[in-house]
Amino acid sequence: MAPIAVGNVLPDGKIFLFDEKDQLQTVSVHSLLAGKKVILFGVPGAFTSACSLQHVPSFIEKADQLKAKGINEIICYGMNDPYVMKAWGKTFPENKHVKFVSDGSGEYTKLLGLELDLKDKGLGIRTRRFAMLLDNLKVTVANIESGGEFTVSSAEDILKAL
Amino acid sequence: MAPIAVGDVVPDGSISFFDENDQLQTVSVHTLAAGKKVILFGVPGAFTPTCSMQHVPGFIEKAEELKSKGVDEIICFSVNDPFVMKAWGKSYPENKHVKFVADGSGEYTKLLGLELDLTAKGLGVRSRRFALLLDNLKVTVANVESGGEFTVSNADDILKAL
Repeated sequence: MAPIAVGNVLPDGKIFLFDEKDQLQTVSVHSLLAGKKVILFGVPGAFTSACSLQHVPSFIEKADQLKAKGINEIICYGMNDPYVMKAWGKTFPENKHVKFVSDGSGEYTKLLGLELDLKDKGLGIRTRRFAMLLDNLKVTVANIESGGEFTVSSAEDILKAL
Repeated sequence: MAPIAVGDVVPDGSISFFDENDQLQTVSVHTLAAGKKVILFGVPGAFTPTCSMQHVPGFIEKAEELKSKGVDEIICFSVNDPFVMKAWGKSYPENKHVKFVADGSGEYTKLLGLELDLTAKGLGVRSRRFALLLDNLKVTVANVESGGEFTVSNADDILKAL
């Protein structure tokens, strides 16, 4: 699959998350994001350095600002399972708005065309780091790193685009 | 592969973990366990309820007793990546002896014949819950659950066998 790009409609697929009642839910991406202005940002690995110390904190920090500019949801996405994503989310007690969802099956990342081979780090196939702005499922900004580096996919980069 | 059983020599294969200097190590199971009395216990998922609240704490609690009965190493094993296993291990500040290792690719679990399909829960293929006692790589006790239940694989069951 070619990588997702500006102008595309986000593909539909299933992802996993724990809801406010701590129940495991399997939801369709379209039902989660339709009709909303959403930031979807992807991380190669929960509990890894750049993801934990830079990428997620940048969105937690800028969440209020982003919401003030009309963003309805800020969603952190990774190929870790939903239990790991939930535990990782809890390590950010200051977080008020960022939701943590899981591509537990690895299928959705393929649909996005954003697979990253991290087998030699013991991580298997993961997602490339990215940040996308979606308007009713249409991709209006697609800042995709070539791998796990952190150059264009921060909250500041998305803020500039709003 | 048929499930590992008493009398078998534990297969060789690679697992990874972060060492005391926080360096990622990939080691062969045989190098890790040769010449030693080792408890290898497997969990379906880091940060999942039974694993986190019952299985691991049981071994942390009984670690001193197990060591006084001649056990050299107590190793917690799962199909999670090494970053997740490290973070999960750190969530047990009282832990002094249990090591957390990763079968990131799921390959070693296949060699043990202990795969558990948890795809429906967004976990992919994981390990069945188990506790093995190894004596210089030979399996002397094999308490293997049929899935993720927790009936025979706890620390007390291994203690009884020592």
